[in-house]
Amino acid sequence: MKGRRGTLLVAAPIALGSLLLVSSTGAAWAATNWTVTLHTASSAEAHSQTVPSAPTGATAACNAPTTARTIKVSWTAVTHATTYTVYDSTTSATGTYTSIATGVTTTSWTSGTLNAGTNYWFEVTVSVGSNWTSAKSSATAESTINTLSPFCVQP
Amino acid sequence: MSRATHANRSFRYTRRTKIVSAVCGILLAGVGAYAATNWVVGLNSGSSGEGQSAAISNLTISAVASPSATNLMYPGGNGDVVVTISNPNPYPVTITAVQLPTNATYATGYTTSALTTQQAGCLAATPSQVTWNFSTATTGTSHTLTTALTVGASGQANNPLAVTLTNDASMGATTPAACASTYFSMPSFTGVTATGGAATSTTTPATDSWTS
Repeated sequence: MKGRRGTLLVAAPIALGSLLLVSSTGAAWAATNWTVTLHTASSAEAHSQTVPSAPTGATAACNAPTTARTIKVSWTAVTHATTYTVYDSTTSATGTYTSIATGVTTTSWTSGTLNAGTNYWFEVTVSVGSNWTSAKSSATAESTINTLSPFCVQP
Repeated sequence: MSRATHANRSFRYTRRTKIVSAVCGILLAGVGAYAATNWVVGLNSGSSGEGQSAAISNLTISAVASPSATNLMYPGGNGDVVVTISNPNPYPVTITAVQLPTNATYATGYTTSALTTQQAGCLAATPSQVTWNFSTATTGTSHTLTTALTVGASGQANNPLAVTLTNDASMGATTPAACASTYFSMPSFTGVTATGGAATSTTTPATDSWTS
């Protein structure tokens, strides 16, 4: 539309319903404060941690009184741990280990009455979630359960 | 033509111009008010709006390896997601919210950050159990960003804009062990809510998130 000289703004509705202002000189700019949802395929990247490392600092200590013939196994907490599993060996530090406690949610575990005349070594694993399980920790020092006092010793 | 006739014609022309301008102004205000109301339109992927003088083009949101995420996912936990946003429009675009796929739409695992070789045993179909945090069983739920992100105009600073979305990826508690030490291509957003127009662009790289 022409009239007196100067720039005259003309509204230009477009297919989306958004508004563009077009000057009579032909220059165009988008009006502020219009909102549309733009549907565009997108991609984004995330990264997961490694399987947890074996717990560290595993130790075994005779519980008092030693007549109880029980041992307390302790270890250092692992970040994001869900549960721990305790294993024992009765042959050697490098022998075959058997799971004796699962679903442990604290950083220590106390055995029941152990067999007299038996040596024990312990190892611990940690699980994050249900399926990410670490390797076993280093073995604890040997613990001996005697038939006579002292009933539990760590040589 | 007499001076009086010429003067009358000039007067009517000027008066007509004013009337037309006023009518245009009323129409403009009405249409402007309509356009200024927040409304949402869903478009097909890759489509753009056509105007008489300009087109509205889709943003491009892409996975990037850098900056690398430092807050990594673990079973039952959340982790960061890294994207880059490119704006092809000749004006800044401000993103205020994203729309997410369902919480059963899983990410695919890859062996490296290049996202080229899939991680065996950790695919979307496995399932990896890696999804967008706060996604639900309903597709397209909208989640408001803590801070609006403004991507600069095409050719201007801060375009593309790299963004780390804090804790916005979620990993299930029973995620397979094969998904450890894995890079994930997150499921596509179903949409974004963006406002165009003059705004100060966000400095790249940026950090943001949605928390609900």
